[in-house]
Amino acid sequence: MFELLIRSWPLLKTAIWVTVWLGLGAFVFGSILGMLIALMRNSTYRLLRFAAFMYVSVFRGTPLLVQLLLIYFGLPNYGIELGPITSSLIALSLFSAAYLSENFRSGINAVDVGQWEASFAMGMGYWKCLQRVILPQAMRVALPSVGGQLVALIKDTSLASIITVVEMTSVAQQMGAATFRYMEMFLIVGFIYWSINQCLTLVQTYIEGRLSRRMS
Amino acid sequence: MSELKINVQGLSKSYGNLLILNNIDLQIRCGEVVVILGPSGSGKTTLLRSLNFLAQADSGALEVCGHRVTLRPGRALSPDDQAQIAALRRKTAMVFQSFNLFPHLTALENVIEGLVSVKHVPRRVAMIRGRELLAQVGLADKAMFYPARLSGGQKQRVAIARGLSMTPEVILFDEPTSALDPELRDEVLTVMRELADAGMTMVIVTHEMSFARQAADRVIFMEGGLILHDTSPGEFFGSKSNERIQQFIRKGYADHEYTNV
Repeated sequence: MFELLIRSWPLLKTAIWVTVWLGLGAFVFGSILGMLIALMRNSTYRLLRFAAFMYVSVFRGTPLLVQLLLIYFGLPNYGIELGPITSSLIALSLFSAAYLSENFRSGINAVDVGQWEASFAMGMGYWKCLQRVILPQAMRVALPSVGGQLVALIKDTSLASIITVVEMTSVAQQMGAATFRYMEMFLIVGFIYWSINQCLTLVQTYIEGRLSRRMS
Repeated sequence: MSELKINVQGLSKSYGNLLILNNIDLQIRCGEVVVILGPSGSGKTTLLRSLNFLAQADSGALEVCGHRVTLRPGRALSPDDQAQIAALRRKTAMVFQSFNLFPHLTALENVIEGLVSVKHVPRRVAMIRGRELLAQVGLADKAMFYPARLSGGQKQRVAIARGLSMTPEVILFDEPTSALDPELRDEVLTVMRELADAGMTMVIVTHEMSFARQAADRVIFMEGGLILHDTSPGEFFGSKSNERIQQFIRKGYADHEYTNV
């Protein structure tokens, strides 16, 4: 197995970076968009609320694979041609935004309404209150589920292999085909996925511990 | 006559069919300490919260610290109204029944938050002011404590210091001692009495009869969304007040175990 790992390392090395950056990149963009959608869902404007609700409903209610194929193979019909990596990044970002928005929203809603009132009473505006008072508390609540989303996202990058992105799963398929040692190859790749996610979970646990120590 | 800090004219609010505030008129002058009493559901908390627009009345006019907003049923607030509300909120402070301290910030950070993020005072300067205010409410040694490690009475005193940090012209108190054990109430009431003595304009919704009697300039009695009486504490607690008030006072003392005052 070691010898196979060494043989496939030159390809795997790049593929690991593709997987990690695709996952982290989609997480960053998905978080920004997800936060926006979470705020829209709590808006006083019905239209914004409805738009956000539809977004979440559609992107959670359809398979990521279909979204990916639609962007990569569907959009060129309308003259929009995106490379495989860009397509994957967009699809993963849009998809994770739907889930992350729900995580953020439940975090925000878990903060006592008295926190808003105290902030407004001292003259803070909506955004200032959100930034200084609500989000620091909401993030504590949302962190475990947001961490779960990041882990899920890393695993979901494997779908990008379908549209020719050379990430870990696609390397495993290539090397498997070249050597017929599929079992070992997928075990290797599975182990790498697990290691990455284990690191991310450790980071999450560390942040969680630091945040909760002070408040109670 | 000294300057009017609060002028409420014809303020009404209802939830569905239930009329909470029924055409309220109320004037409060600079330096007055006004205690609002009344049974629960009388509309006293709603009246207080409508003064800084945490509750928005349906109709009527409010002028708070020189900022005027006129409300009409079914009409949304104009951008100018919003600006008036933002301005009057910066000139008033509110102390809540449930303290509403920011749990992710220390006592000192709670006190300076408004200075830093609303008034844009440099953090270093705000810290000095914050420590002074904590000392004023007797909590100089608790500056670095998070709210979770403070007692209820200490939390409420931090909340008062937080309100004072904005150098408000009026402080609104919404049942500031109702969430506290009897033995913790006094430390909060003492701080409030000091503020009253220093000439702060205060509007206080409370059930504390003895505080109303000793520290108030005026006692307002509300019931069913109406101001039924607006008198001096001497008259209110005197033997000549009417039967409804006598009954309320007796019950209030009984409820709060202050029968010996």
